[in-house]
Amino acid sequence: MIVAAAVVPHPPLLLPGVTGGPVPEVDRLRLACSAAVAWASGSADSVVVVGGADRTRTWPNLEPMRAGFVGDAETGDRLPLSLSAVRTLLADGVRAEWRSIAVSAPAAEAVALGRQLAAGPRATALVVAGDGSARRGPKAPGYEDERARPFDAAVTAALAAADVASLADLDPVLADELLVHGRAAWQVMAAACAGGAWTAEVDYADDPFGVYYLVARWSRR
Amino acid sequence: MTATAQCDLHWGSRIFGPRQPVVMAIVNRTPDSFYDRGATFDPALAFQRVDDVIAAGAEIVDIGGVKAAPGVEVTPGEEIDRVVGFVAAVRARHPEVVISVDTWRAEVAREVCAAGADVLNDAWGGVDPGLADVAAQFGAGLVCTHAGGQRPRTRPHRVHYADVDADILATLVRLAERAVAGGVEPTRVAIDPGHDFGKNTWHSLAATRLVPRLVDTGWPVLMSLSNKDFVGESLGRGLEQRLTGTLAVTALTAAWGARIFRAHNVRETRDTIDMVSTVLGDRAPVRAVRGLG
Repeated sequence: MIVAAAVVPHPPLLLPGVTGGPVPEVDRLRLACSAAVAWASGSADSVVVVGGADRTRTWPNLEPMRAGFVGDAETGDRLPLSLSAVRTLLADGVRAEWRSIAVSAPAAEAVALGRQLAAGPRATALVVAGDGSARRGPKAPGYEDERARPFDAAVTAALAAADVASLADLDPVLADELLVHGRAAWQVMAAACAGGAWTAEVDYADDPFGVYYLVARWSRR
Repeated sequence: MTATAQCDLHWGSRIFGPRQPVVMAIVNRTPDSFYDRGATFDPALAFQRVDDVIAAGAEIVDIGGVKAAPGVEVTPGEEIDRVVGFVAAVRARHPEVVISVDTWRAEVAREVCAAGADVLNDAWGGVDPGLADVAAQFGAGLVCTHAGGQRPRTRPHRVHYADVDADILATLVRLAERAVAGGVEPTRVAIDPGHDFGKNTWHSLAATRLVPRLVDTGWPVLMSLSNKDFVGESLGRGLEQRLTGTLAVTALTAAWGARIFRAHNVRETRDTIDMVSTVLGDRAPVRAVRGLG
């Protein structure tokens, strides 16, 4: 059973050393992310991390690889960015189960994974890595799309209200067009948390580099 | 010849690693130096210059009381008057900065070391062997320079070398080893091929190309290039138009492993060597966010 959930973004900027020198906007974001992840992992007996990637799979055998990356020791696949970002946020020694969901996965696939995670026997914290739109303005990586801000606002409102139905209803096609990399992961969370009563808090919502980042926490009442 | 690895350079209270190039800012206590033409002969302006160059990223200030080119005679007493009090005041004002003094005279060197100087920049190539003795006595650093055996404050006239590369290499290694034999700490010695000193432009260009081999000697290499005539003659540029050429040679020699850059234009020199260090992977970008959000 899921007892707590934390939502964080996963820009490469969160990985160690990527920004070169310290960047204040990134420090502020990392602080919010680390606090949410620490809160979640401290609220449960086990941790499951879910993040968007090329494909849906589990990551059972993580080992250090070349150049500071970790990956699947058997296949040589590198842990995807979304999960790597969370890995740098988790305190040392915290063990977790790692799950990637295809960014383009149909909602039904996300729902199936969410239900599977919810069915686990232990009190579990979910850490969900997902980014909002990268098309929020003329300087955004994907340039401006006027639908981006309303989309992100709807996601923010749903996370603030623990509104699983609205997350479940997010349009995969529109999300793709808006370069949203969190839709499938948020829908896993919606399915995993469906039917519960939650206290929700949005700790961070901003787009310092043109991509929308959200940090939120849900606690089962 | 096999290469000797570069080691840490200990100057003043600072330790500079082999891949940590530094800026030595020129601060003239002269009424007539070639580039700034006495701009900091006034003590207040000289103090302002020191504050400015430190703020702009210089680790070292190189204070000189006698211009290099021929001109009005400056006695040792006059040189001491120009430099010693100023060194003491800079020491009090900036405890961390490395203070170098550009002099060839042991009697001046003794006074400035007593006043707090950390390094003696012997830009005239060891004409006064007593200078190294002073460095040894005070535990100071020493820059050994190739000046082609010229007397101080003379211009090169029809200078000839049988083999300029060999002359520079052998002279610098001999001066550095002589200094160490005389008691100067090996970690406090640097070498400077002495652009324009006892050299025409062809010689200075050869000295530049020699930098990789100078680096291979293991001694930290100092580059004194700033706005010099070899840059001006190479590009056909007057005194005010030599910064680009200076920075080009700065970048090239920084990439080849030169470590100390004596400069008038501190901010530009700092940016140049920082950019080279960043490309080489020795320094992280200040703020890398583009495409990573």
